Amino acid sequence: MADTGIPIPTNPAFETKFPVRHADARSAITASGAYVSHVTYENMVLLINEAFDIFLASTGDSKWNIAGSNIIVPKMEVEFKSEVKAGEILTFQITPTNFGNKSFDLITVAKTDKGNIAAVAKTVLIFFDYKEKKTVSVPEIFKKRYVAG
Amino acid sequence: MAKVELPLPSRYHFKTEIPIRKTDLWGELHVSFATVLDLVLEAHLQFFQYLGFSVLDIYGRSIIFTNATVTYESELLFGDLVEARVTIENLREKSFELFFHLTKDNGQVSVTRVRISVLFFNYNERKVVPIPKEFLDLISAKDLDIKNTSDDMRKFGEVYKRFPLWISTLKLLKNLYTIANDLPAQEQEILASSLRKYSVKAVNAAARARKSPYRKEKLRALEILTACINELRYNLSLAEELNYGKYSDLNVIFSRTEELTKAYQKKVKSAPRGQQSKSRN
Repeated sequence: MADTGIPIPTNPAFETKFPVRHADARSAITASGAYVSHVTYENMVLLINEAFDIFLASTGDSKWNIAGSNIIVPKMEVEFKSEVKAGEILTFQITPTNFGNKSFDLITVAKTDKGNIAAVAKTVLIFFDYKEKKTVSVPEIFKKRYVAG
Repeated sequence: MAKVELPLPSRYHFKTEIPIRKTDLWGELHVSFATVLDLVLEAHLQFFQYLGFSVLDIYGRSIIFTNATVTYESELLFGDLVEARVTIENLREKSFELFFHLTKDNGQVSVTRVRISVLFFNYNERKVVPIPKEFLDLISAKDLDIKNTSDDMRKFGEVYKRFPLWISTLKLLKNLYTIANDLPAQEQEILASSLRKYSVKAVNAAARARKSPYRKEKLRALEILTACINELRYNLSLAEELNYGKYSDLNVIFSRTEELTKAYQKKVKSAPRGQQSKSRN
């Protein structure tokens, strides 16, 4: 498969860091007899989601109220680049980009304390009115924070 | 029902910090009574890692929990930074207790106290077994308690915190410094300074054995470490000969350090030759 290569933003809009817990990792003896204990792919998605929550909280928003609106996630792609173990502190760099009328992309880059990229994720987010059950425009106040001019 | 009282221990062996995540909350409200125990489990696993064990292999045995007493004192919210402190209490022949104290706001607010009874367990035979003698010795060896290290030192220590050999040599160093400080004034220049010198050398050698990417340097560092341990043992035996004290309770830390050194030596020797050593050929 061709590497889709999610572009990594040079100027991240937000950065946060937190430690990886033992609960985020799984340990097992592999078929070849090696003992492996690391963050599994599905748990990495949980960590990326946690960083998103921290990002939203930094502006007083939450998933239930982003500048007076809500979002749905129609697509997410993740590239896993290097192994992460419990006890490591991961830094998450978050950048909202590629704004459309009703949607935008959220690029999340997870880095290990050595500076290696652990994972890159692109999440597509569409603003959505749960009452009317239809998509709505990106709130201006939200877009203005991340788009110059 | 009578109110449960869990008196706080006077000392702690280990402290860790756990930031509360959004996913720890129940219904966007606060951390539930059940999730609080997940935080306790996290602190428990980190504590045994700090001691140099996986909970599945403590001198070849595992542990199980037989009961837990929990008190809930205040709420935990998203963004709170929990400090979890751990102590081993009531160490007996077949059981011991783990005490956890979770606080927030720099230790100002007490969140939860938990006391858990622990038994050693053999998963192959599915039965309770006595506590390994080595574990009893290790826990009752003095100076397991946490000290007030500066932030910088703690940050530096982070790198090696998960390396059992380094932890073990650091434990030796702390004990030997106490012994050195207690030696009479006329020994400070010779015997005491020798104890300090070789224990620092041992810790540094352990760090280098871990850090160096080169197999040759790793093995050299482990040789130096072994030499330091021998030197320290010899100096302590001299101190005993001179009747400054009895130091046999340190034997368990010495043996553990030697065991770990040998194990790491074996690991380095059997590791496939990596790219770094290839590029030097």
